[in-house]
Amino acid sequence: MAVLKRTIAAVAVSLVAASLLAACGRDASHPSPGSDANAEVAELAALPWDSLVARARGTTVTWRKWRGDPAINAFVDGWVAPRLRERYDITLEAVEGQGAELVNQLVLEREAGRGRGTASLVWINGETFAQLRAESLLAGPWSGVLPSSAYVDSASPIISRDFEQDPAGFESPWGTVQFALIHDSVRMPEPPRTFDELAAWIRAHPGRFTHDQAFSGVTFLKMLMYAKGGGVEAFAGGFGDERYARGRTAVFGWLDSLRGAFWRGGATYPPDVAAMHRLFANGEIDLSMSNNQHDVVNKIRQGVLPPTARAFVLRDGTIANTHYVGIPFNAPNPAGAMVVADLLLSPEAQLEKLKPEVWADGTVLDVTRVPEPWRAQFAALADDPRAIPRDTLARYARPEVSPRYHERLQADWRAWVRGDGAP
Amino acid sequence: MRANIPPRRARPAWTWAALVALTLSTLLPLAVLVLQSLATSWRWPLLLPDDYTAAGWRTVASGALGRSALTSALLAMATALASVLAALPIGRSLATLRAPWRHVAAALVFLPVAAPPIALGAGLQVATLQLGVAGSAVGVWLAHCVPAIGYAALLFMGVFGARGRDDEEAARSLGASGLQVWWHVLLPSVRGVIVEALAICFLISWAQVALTLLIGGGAVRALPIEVLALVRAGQDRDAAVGALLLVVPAMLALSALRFGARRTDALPA
Repeated sequence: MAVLKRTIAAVAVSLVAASLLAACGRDASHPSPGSDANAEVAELAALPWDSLVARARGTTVTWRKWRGDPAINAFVDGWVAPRLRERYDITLEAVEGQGAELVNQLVLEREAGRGRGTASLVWINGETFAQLRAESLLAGPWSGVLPSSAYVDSASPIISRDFEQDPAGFESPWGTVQFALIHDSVRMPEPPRTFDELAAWIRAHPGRFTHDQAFSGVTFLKMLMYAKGGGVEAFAGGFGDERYARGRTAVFGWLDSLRGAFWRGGATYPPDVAAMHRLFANGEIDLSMSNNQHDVVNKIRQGVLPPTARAFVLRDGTIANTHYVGIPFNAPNPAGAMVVADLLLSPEAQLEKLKPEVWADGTVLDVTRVPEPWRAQFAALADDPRAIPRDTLARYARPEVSPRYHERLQADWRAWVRGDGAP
Repeated sequence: MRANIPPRRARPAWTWAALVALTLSTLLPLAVLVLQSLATSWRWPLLLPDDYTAAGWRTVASGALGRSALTSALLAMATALASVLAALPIGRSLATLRAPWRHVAAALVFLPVAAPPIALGAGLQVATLQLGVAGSAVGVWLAHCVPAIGYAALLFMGVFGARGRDDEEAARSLGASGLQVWWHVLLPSVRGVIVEALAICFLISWAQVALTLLIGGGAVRALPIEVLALVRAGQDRDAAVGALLLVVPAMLALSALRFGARRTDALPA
């Protein structure tokens, strides 16, 4: 019996040891101990950029980000990662994780109280940034140290404010998107251009319109709140209960009057944009939507949307927002994370991901200030006939308001769908 | 024995109908997956895709799907091996317990199996974080072993309990050591069940989503995680490829299970 126990123990130990060795080989770049990266970030921020880059050389950066879009994954794994390796000898590990998952993970890591965490960079904005900041789970300030931050279009309120919050150096902008509706240029050559036209169209075509339950759907409702509740100005400048109550009345009044004409009588809604795109592509509904105005080009190429799909914006205004990268309070490699954030912000990377065949994610740089040859290339890209013209987008762009509006709308919408009385 | 077998009768028509329905319900979804995995796009009202591409399958060799299939296979094999090794002595010890304690112990062993993976995962997440293996394949492997050991231990407990200790005591009285008893008496008597347990533990790990997500923290890209992400992103072609990759080893493991079961008569053949 004793011999057997020893055998089992030996096998178990060698299994664990072998796997541990395998795992350590992957993660052997934690530069310094201590659970808090804040002190290290402050120290790094005071260094000349070249010294910081020297410190980052030869390390691994684990970046926790949404991995749901193959086009974005291809850009990160196939364009960003090889350049980091060639120029800085940095290994980039992009792993899955977004929104509430990110926050929970960091809270748990803090509770477990175990030195440095697992991720050095996180992809965030809006409510996630608000939650991480409220819980002091981000290190900073650091974003002003990045050389490429000199070109950021800081005059744009859509970039310099994240859902009205001051990034305050705790997150660095990476890209910007603007909400657009999607129609089929053959099935529906003249799409509705305002919420009133949309309402008339929905009444005339029952069962052909819906929105999803996730981020895009709530953004659509928020745009409706702006349009019917007195414009974005009525909600700007922080959350107000009374102002929200007025917006809510406007939103649910509009929805109540149309619900019966929604897809499936408004009893059920697609869970996310992907499901809504599927309904649209299969001809079950006539309009889809996306948080990214250029997404349609990308999705046509992937075969998700038909080749005749086109994006358009409502003249009532469409919400534009910016997404950022942040460094967690327990980041194992903040120096490497800052080098990655700088490459993401460089004119070269910003131009690459703006290309419709790459990702079509909007740039956060002021393209009139970037050096040549990038300036000319940005200008050439703006003339792409498939894209919505830049000045059209800019004219109808509306900023985000406090993330509380988003949260409340989402909660109240769920109650409304369940039929818990009109809120 | 032979007298007990009822005389062979012609199967009634409805069993054939049921058989055909069962076959179709198994094969049709697989056929849809195969078509979807090869379609460039496949939209209503087309009965079949209008154009085909091998792009989805190429990602198996070159991209994330292939890597995650490998990760899953290694994880599942390591889980099966470690869990069966741990469950053999556990099952044996449980089988020797007396009546009330035996039931208590069985309930305890079954707890990680019966508990919802999220509840189990929350505790395991803190434990693996403290061990410093969260977000790594080792942490996920340890987490997968928890429900797998539960299943396998129960299985062995049943078999050892049913066999009784007569053979073992006979071997002991003839001077066999502990190891000799295991090697020459206990293990041969449960050989079929070991195959079965390996297959079940492999499948528990292979199909695991909640524990992998919680413990792996997104860093361990097992196949089910990758497939879910693709479905959520609306990448139906790649998702279909991944789904087929998920199904094939599961079917192999199931046939191993049938094979093992037949050898020991643990299930009706």
